[in-house]
Amino acid sequence: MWRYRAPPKRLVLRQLKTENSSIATVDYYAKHTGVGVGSTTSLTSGQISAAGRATCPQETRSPQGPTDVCPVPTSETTTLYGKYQITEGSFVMTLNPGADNYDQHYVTEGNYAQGRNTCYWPGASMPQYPSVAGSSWLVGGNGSAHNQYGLDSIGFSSAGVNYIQTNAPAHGVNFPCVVTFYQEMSYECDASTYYVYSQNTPTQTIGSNTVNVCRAGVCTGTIPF
Amino acid sequence: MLNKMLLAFVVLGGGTHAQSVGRPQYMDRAIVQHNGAVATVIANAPIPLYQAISAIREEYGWRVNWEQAPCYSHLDLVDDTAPEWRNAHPESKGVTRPAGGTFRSVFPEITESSVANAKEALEQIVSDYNATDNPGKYALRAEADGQFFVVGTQVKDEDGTIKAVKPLLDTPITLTREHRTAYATLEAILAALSSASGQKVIMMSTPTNILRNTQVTVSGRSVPARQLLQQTLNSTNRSVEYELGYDPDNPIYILNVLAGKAEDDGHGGKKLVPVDPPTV
Repeated sequence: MWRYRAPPKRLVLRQLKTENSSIATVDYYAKHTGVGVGSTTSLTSGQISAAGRATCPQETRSPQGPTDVCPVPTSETTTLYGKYQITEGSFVMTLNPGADNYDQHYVTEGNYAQGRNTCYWPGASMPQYPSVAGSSWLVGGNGSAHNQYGLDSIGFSSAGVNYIQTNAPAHGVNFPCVVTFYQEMSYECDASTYYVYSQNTPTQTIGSNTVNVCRAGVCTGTIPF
Repeated sequence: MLNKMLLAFVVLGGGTHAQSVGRPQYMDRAIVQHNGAVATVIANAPIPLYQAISAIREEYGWRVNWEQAPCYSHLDLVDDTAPEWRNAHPESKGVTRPAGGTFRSVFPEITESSVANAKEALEQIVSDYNATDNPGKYALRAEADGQFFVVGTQVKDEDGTIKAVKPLLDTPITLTREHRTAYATLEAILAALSSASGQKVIMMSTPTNILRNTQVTVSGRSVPARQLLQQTLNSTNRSVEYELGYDPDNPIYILNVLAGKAEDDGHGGKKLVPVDPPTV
């Protein structure tokens, strides 16, 4: 007594292409490569076949689906917007290259390493390992210009800076002390796909009566405080 | 000889001055060890319960808010004045730090993440801490939404007697109905809290961009400040927690707001990652 077990069916693709090869191309292994920004349709065609003692007639199938090529920024340019509550720096960012349109997509910050805080002393009520908060900004949204996002405000509040200036030296902290973050920027192509395009090390440098906030080499300058 | 007498005075303490000892080598972070059915948290810090709770929060992803006990007794504090600063300011009173040190707690391992399991573990940790001589006694409070609050409720007085303290955020305050950013609302809450309690409260570190991009309408009449604070932070729709510290030297309460979830950074440290994707 034996039972015949049908072999697995195979779809043998005979054709792989996109409707618009100036947007995306497809190779023999179905690997898609973006060429230009936009949307097109991936097309293929093939026959379902099965080998073995009993075989079904071959059937032709032509599946297709959308292919979107998302422009991902390769860098960003940071511009100082101004100071916020004296001790914080606010910055506006422009995504590059500017030939593409990034509006209505989100950028999100994360940490790519553990922050450092040389203003900290054991027992102090402040982050020993500062980090960014995971903020998101809509490019071109909330009043931002085309391909821009912001504001990214960086630094302890003026009350916090004053607390450090007043108390840290007695605890053995030397001025200037520096709060350093390791900020990684990701661009959202769609709801589940993010691309890292930039890493920054924002700092807030606190002196006995000064503050300076920097992001990507752009600084507020020395703020008397 | 004079130096020896001075050293003895400083080490033994005088009157109500904080005990003076050299700054010990604290741990950068508490360690959480997993041993089958139980887990162990090991901390060594001026307030080791805070360090332990921070590590537990990172390890299990629980939302635990922190309110430091306002210790003021020389029995709960040690002198932390840097020698160089002391030499330059011989007449100043100097600064202190909480007198805590090592702490270890063994609690049931979390095999299934649930609010009940988290509460059981946190209760064990807080209970173990309260059995030590580390500064402050704490209580665990739980909210229906799964958030926890470790709240300082008792401190030593100058005689060493344990005395109850009313947590600052229990203070009833009134906030008029107004549409503001979450950041401005926090500022209004702290201003009302300072006014109602007579205590100075400042904001140190917050997820500024998130708070300034969130509009809220939070109000209340004679409600605990904690309730309004929670409403404001919950309105961000992010996993946001707060830590309310206390510095007895000024004295001053210090609010820090945390957002995100810690993950290993691959270099032996931790990094914070967003806990939820942005909404489109």
